[in-house]
Amino acid sequence: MKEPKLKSLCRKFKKRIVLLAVIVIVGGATWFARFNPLAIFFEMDTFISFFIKDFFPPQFVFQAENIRALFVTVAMAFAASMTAFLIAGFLSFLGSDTTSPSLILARGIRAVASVFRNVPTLVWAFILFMSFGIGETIGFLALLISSLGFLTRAFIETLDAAAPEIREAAVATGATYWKRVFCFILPDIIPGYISWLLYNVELNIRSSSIVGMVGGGGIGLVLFSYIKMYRYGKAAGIIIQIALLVIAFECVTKNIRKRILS
Amino acid sequence: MNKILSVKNLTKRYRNGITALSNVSMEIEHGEFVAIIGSSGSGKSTLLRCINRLIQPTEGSVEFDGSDICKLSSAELKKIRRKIGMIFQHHNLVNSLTVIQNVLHGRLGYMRTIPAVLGLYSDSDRRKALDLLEQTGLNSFVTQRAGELSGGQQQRVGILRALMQNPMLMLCDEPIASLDPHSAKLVMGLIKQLTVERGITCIVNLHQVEAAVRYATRIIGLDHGNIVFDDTPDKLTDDIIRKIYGGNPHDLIIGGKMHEGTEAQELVS
Repeated sequence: MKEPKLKSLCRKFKKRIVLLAVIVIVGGATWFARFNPLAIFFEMDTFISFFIKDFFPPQFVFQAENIRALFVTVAMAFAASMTAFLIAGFLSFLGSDTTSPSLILARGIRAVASVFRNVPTLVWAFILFMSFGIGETIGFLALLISSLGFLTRAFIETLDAAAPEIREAAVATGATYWKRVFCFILPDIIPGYISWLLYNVELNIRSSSIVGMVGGGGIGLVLFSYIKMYRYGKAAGIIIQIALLVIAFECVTKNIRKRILS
Repeated sequence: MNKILSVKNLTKRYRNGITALSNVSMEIEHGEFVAIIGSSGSGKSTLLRCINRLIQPTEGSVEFDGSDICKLSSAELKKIRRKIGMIFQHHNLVNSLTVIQNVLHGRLGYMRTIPAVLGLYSDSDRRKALDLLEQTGLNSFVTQRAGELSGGQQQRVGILRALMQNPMLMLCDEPIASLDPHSAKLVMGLIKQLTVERGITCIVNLHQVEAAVRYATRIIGLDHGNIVFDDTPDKLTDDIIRKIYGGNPHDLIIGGKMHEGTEAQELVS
């Protein structure tokens, strides 16, 4: 009867230590980075005045150039997602232990995909701009690299979790590898793959504007040039356009996802 | 009468040290309907999967249709698996595909790769699948997704998929364990009827003794990987049942739940 009591005491003690550790880490980080977490309250008036005076009223510039830029941003996101979907779809079969012809190859693919995914898109964009100069192609490539990492990892996980029962049934019919993959495994996982693709398109629409700001072209570049020229009203107009774009896409993908999964 | 399957000194030890089967031997003749009964972890599932080598036995031989399954190359093994239909406890259908697509999957082993991958089944295969679906009262579900069907209906689709292989032997792993009593009766009746009509030999793992007695022409009792009973159903006395289930009559009642867990573990390891 004594042991459970000791255990619960230990647990309580642990909880306290964790709480203390969190406080120390937050405090330490604040001190180290020399930022004041309350600044946003103290300097609220400057913030609000900047917001009201400079950003308002937002000006919408309906130039052909800006509308083209908006399209470029969407196109970059789409192209990167779709290309990554095709490549990652193929790689996932080589990268999952359940379908790969070689376990070493599978491990290699997972490692590379992790690197691609864990380095932020913005960092890829900087690396590419520094080596190849700016432009929409480079923006597309930066999005492609991070999407490739993200989708390959997500697809491999989907494949790993795909029902082992179905694989067993496929083997029992005497079907060969390609028949098992195309007739049993693919139909089982495709809804999951498409769901991940849609999520990736959403992510890319957002990243695409940011990558554009640092030189990838599209609406991000337009926004950045307005900010640099202190045309905050026009910048606010662009920000609203980007927000509407992202929201619109979320609505569309939500709808498609619902239809696929039901 | 001639043998269709002869299992000799079959032993399976898993890597975690558990011996699922020890020195099991049995001979099955054409047209027999064999029920294998036993409590959780008795090795029923392993035995069934060693027959079509979904599980690689450690020692022993499985002779089917004149060849030793344990010694076949992977291409030969695939060919012979076409002659062995299999039905699973959880139906193992592709839920996102239609009923008829799942039934036609039974033909994949016989097709060339390209038409198989593209789903170009022959007219005679389609005809046969539709006929079978009509015979089993599933004709109104032909183009419905398999995942939308009830458990009993899904299991019937599973039976038809196995039948499409034109099998000589059917292996049924707990076909009624996750069905309600009414569906269970329907499914067992269907397995019996369809296999007898076609002269297909059938081996069924069951944990319901009553079902085994009712449908089987022969019962094999397994306990800790050993055959402890092998005879006609009328020879199965209460004493023997107690022996098979480890002397605890309670296992017969709550055995169902226990069973699923252990067998699943066996498969994983």
